[in-house]
Amino acid sequence: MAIKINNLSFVYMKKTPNETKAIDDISLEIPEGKVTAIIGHTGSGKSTLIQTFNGLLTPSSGTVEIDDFVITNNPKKNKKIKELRKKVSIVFQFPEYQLFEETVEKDVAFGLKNYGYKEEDAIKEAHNALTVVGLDESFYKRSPFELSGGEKRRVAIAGIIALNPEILILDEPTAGLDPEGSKIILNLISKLNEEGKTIIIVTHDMNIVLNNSDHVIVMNNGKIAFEGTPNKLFASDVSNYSIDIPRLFEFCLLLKEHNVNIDIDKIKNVDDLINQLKERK
Amino acid sequence: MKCIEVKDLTYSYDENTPVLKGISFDIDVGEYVSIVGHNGCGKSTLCKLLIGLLEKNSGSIVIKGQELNQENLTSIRNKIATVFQNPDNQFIGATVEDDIAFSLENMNTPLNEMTQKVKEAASKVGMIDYLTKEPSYLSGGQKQRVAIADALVREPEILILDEATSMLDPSGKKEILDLISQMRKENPSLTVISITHDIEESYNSDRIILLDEGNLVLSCSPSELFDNRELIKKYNLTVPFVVELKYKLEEIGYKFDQNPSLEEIGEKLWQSK
Ligand SMILES: Nc1ncnc2c1ncn2[C@@H]1O[C@H](COP(=O)(O)OP(=O)(O)OP(=O)(O)O)[C@@H](O)[C@H]1O
Ligand SMILES: Nc1ncnc2c1ncn2[C@@H]1O[C@H](COP(=O)(O)OP(=O)(O)OP(=O)(O)O)[C@@H](O)[C@H]1O
Ligand SMILES: [Mg+2]
Ligand SMILES: [Mg+2]
Repeated sequence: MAIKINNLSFVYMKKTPNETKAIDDISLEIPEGKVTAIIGHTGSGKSTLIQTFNGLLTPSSGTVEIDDFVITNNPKKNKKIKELRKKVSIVFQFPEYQLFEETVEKDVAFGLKNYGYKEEDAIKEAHNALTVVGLDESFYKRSPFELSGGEKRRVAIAGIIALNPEILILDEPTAGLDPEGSKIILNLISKLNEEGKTIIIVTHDMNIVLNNSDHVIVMNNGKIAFEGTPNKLFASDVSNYSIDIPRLFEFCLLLKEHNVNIDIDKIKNVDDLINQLKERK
Repeated sequence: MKCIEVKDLTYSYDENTPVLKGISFDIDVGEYVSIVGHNGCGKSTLCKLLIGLLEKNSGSIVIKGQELNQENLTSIRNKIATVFQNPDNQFIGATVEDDIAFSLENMNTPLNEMTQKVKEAASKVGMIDYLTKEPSYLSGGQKQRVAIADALVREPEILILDEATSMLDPSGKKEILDLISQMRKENPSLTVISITHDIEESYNSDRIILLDEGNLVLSCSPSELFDNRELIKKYNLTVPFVVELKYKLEEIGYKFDQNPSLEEIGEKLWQSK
């Protein structure tokens, strides 16, 4: 399922002194079966944009099309929204917004029960999802509010993984995770993508863009500033986007400048570079 | 001079699960220390103990020569500004301006001076255009910027950052880190404790303290740590880019001096091509 966005705008607090146009007439398509990274300056509209993808926010104007679902600015018309949410799930930027049950296992099982799973089966699936994100059985009966920041994020991610949606949207999934936890989540994302899921990651980590994404969208002030492959982005002038060139990419550019013969387009991580250098030796 | 002296500190949220298991360390006045360790190892708990938000089970915490207790809690807290891991938990004011002003009001700062300081702090973190907005209706990174302004405006002796830049865009993060190093230059007695999962960030601090399941297992300079492959392996640490590159090139036969810069590594590569 691709996501088609047509002339989408979103305004917070319309007709108040604090009115904010967070999305400003955007049209774009998010490709099916790929990992798309959405990046850009603080407040550029990333979190707002993704929340329109399953109708959590209703467009001020324009539409979002996913399969036969069309989300419009008329909430009454967005009838099949519950069905859509089964297919498109979001992990929020602040996991706290997503946690509310009294125990971790109930929290992760909540969505499944909502979709008609029996309690027992839902809890079983929840345990599986918790194992995947690196939380063992000592967490099952604990309160999700009495966890460390990174543990909360893992629970929130598990809650979405358990639902097995077709489109997975993760808003800064690695913020607050330790390096090992980040690796677990990124590997999980690759695995789900290989199984055919469409993945959207909002992130400030340029290494994730280079290493884990097929497609990247840069937002600036509610508009799209760039769309294309990570390599194309980092090879272009990014000085206006509040983003950064990954150290690895910068280093490769430096090597190129000194006529070291490498194929930058094929380099996504340090190992790729090492392999190219090894072959050359 | 010692800024913080922690001795045999223990803490548990419930009796059966000790979270801090007897931690001891000192931090000098003016030092910039990173505290690292995996999720749930006790970093945020430690920082809440340091400002008396949680009460220790045993051990002692001495801040600038004074042992932290109920009587001096307020006066010690006035020396410390903390940016919490979740900025939502620290907002008090109905607008960004009120929120930044709040601690100054508590310190009885005169009104015109207060307005001035609030504006300065807001522009330093890039939020001057948001003074009238409500903090809870900001984007994630904007919230973090306001939380940082809340702390800076107090001109603390000790600044504690609990993953304070985890949701900032790369240039925003760089601006904040530059701002902090600028503040340390202007005021060499400013002590900074930064809890972070960002290896590149901790690589630039004076010292790294590593916690592991409630124990302090390591306290040394970044270069000492990242020069020691055994330690890295033992604690399963991720290393900064330059260190990873160096190690992996060594594995295929390149040789480098200790702590080469990226340029030095590059030179070896284009000389040998
Ligand atoms: N609930 C809200 N009410 C009013 N304005 C909001 C609300 N949430 C966000 N905004 C504003 O809308 C704009 C876009 O915010 P959004 O959260 O989409 O940014 P973002 O790109 O996700 O930023 P960040 O990287 O900081 O998370 C910002 O200017 C923000 O202040
Ligand atoms: N309010 C609480 N009640 C009970 N246990 C808690 C509470 N807060 C944290 N814990 C537990 O205490 C341990 C240490 O938590 P802490 O928040 O200090 O970890 P942390 O090192 O800051 O982790 P992170 O990197 O994820 O932020 C964790 O196992 C956590 O589950
Ligand atoms: Mg956001
Ligand atoms: Mg923490």
